[in-house]
Amino acid sequence: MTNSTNNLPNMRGRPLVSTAQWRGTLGVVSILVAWQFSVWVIALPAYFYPAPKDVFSAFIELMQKGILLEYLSDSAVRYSVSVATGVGFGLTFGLLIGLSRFWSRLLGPIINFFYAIVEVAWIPLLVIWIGYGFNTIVIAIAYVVFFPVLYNTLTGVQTVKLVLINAMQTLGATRWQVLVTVIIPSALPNIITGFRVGAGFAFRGLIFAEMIAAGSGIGFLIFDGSTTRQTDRVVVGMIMMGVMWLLIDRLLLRPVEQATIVRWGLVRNQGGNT
Amino acid sequence: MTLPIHPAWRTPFLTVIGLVVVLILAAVVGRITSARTLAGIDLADRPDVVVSLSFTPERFHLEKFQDVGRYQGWSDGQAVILSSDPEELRRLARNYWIDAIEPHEVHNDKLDK
Repeated sequence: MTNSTNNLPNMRGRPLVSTAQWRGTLGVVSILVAWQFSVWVIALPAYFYPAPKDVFSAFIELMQKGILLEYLSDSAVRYSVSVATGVGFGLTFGLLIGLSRFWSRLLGPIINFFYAIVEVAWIPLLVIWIGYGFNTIVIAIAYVVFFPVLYNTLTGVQTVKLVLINAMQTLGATRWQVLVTVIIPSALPNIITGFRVGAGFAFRGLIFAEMIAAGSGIGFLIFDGSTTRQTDRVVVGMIMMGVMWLLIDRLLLRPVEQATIVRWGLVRNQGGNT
Repeated sequence: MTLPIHPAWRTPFLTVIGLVVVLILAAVVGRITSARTLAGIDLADRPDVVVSLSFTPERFHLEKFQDVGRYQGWSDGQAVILSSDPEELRRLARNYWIDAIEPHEVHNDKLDK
């Protein structure tokens, strides 16, 4: 094959489509071909093992009926609000416990206790207290995000070099200045790690919570598809999950890493074009 | 012209801008469509309406109908909703999957002819 098609230059002389993108597309096409081939070979009923064309038809039908767009938007809103809430609380409590011995002694054991209680255990109780829907899901997912952010912030704050704090205090810095100029920047790699871990946990939690406590969303689409034997819809839901996660990773998590810890040389950028 | 932001944030920034533009456009188109769809309906007192769809409604759609008013059932590609709430009806009419919304009386007249 000539190299002219996959390296078409744009105005700046760079290829319009990179080799990595070609490889990615080839990977997706290979999976689709293998999937379709397996459908022909195995020859199971469509409700048991749907073919790519069944899934595509289900996708089109869900779009035409307005179901998919609304479910995607519901999931996206729930995810965004939950992650923001969880990160806000995790960061605040992480700094509070990390900076104050009093709060550490007071809250440490309680937070350790609640860390062991997974969000799934809370959902039945939240459904009774608040009911099905938005608030229950947001609280459950924010709870999932809270702990990784809190513990990573705590680790970050506790590993700040004391010599830097002492130097700042010697120069007459206030507690606020020490916090903003030394502690938070030093703890940032850990905070970002907590954010990344929490965002991943939140996504899994979102799908699970929607299966239990919602009447809409991608998790509900998968659950509803399984109860009505519409496996093509289940697969559409699974593909949407993957697409949503890729978007979250590309549009939120990687830029945050690039703009903070990679930019400041705190970690080496290992992000390929995956 | 380059954006005065860190290169890593360029794609997300442009995506958010694009998303906001799409949402605003969708909202405007929805309102225009809603006004056009409900043109022949007197929304002053809770009207009885007939909603036409090009497909059989699912639970998702039935829940929307129930939010609007008293859903009376589905036949011949149409759903009858009695005593509909004007604001909820406007919201329903913004959806692109709605074919038409007519007053229940007009619908009955058509059937009589």
